[in-house]
Amino acid sequence: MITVGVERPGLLTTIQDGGRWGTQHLGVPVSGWMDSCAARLAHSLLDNAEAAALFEVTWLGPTLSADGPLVIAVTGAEFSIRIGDRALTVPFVASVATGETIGFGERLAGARAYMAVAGGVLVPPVLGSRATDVRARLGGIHGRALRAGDRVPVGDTPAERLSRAPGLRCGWIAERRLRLLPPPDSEASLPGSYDVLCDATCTVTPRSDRMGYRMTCDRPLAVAKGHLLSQPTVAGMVQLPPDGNPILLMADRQTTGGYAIAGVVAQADLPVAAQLLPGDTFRFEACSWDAARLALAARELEWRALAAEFMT
Amino acid sequence: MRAPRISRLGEHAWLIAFEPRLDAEVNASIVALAERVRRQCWPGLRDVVPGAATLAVHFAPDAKSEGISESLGVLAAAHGADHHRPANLVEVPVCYGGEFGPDLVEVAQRTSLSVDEVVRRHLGVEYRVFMLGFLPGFPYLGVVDPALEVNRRAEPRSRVPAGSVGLAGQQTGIYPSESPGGWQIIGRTPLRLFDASSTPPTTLHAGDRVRFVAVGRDAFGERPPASSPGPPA
Repeated sequence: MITVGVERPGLLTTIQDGGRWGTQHLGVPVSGWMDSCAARLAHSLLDNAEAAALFEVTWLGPTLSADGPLVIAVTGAEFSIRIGDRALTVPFVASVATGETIGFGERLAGARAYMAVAGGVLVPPVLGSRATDVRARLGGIHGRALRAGDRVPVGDTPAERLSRAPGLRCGWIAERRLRLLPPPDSEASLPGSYDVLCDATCTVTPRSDRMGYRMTCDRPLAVAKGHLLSQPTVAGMVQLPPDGNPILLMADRQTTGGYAIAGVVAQADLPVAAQLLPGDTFRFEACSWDAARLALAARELEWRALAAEFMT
Repeated sequence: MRAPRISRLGEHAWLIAFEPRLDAEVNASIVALAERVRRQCWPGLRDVVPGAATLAVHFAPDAKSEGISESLGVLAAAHGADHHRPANLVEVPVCYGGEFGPDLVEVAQRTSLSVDEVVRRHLGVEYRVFMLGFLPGFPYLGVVDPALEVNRRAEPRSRVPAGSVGLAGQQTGIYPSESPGGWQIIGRTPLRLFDASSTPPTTLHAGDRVRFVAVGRDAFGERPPASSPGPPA
């Protein structure tokens, strides 16, 4: 079995896949990749199964080593990457020879990059998924972020593939708008706050991680009631805790929550949210259900078009 | 009981909202409805998640959504806590107070009860597991004796030990693993509530019954109480 060695782990590098489904009723979070378009693009460039696992790199990237010949694809945030003596910019596909290092250098745009390996990352699944939930210590490498000295098992590589770096970009990493759908019809929901939040300009605070982003906004939001009966969550849900600063729930969110709900970010814009860092400013925008459906279809076409351009 | 409200929860899930109160009969309807939904075997169905008074039904993005809302309405209207699987009664041993229950004395003060009376009233109820959430395997248990209703701590702890038994409002709960937490901690159990390598992975499920049993420190033996999420790091 081939492994990828971790020389320097970076800020937060974890193994992720499409998420841990089927056990939310037991309190087990979904986890999984934050930017599903960049992740699936990386897999498709290598003909990997969409359900395969890969590396999610956050903000400060790792230095990895190839313990055998690899073919990798890196997408998402625009890191400058050195493989041996080659300099490459994201997104690209590249072969890596045994012993070569993959060094994530300066990050020019976006927050999270995805490195897929041909054949997939082959850590054992836990509760049906290889996704890492560091809080619950499930999946990935021992349920934690990668550390120096780790050896990550990956698939045997098929025939060598030419390196390609066609100078494209994952366009959504530059977007700063999150389309917002209304909250569900329940005790916790605040439709009045939905109206206020749409067109608000918000800033991601440093109190943000894979569970969710805390933000400040340019207008006051209703100070919601305190603890309500806990109800199920979804990715993109915007909660309003009593302090009035919204929380955008992300991949490692708790499966249920007792805060008021102001709205849900459209699926099409979750990859945009995934590429935001503390200090970034964005605005919410009202969205109808039909517009959300069209936006999602457009976003799917967008990343698939990038995949197609790699082949030309 | 009035008909529940059914609405979209983002683009790939539906939320069924019942009367928003902690009520065993309402929750029994939710648990029974969850079972009925699972039995439909709808293509693309990914998760069926009870809340205390709600139920979320999650689908894959490419699942067909036409007619689901109507089907959920029909299933929700079907009456009775019918075919849900027989509820287990689980006894949870608890060592109250001391280092295991750092908030027990304060709970006694706030409720104007003696420590012994707090323990007696906590032991005196057969609780319902309303839902699991917050952490893998964390049970929300109710309804607590009204004399024991206390608020959460003003300042949550950054580390609540695994096995801690807590109080918050009308509910009592158990932390299956170490975590930050704001519940008032009155005791600790050596019982393992979550093990990712077990089938099923949780000891408790929504709809189960729980009774606490007071035990001494020696119940803990040499092994510290803990959940077992996976191999140690």
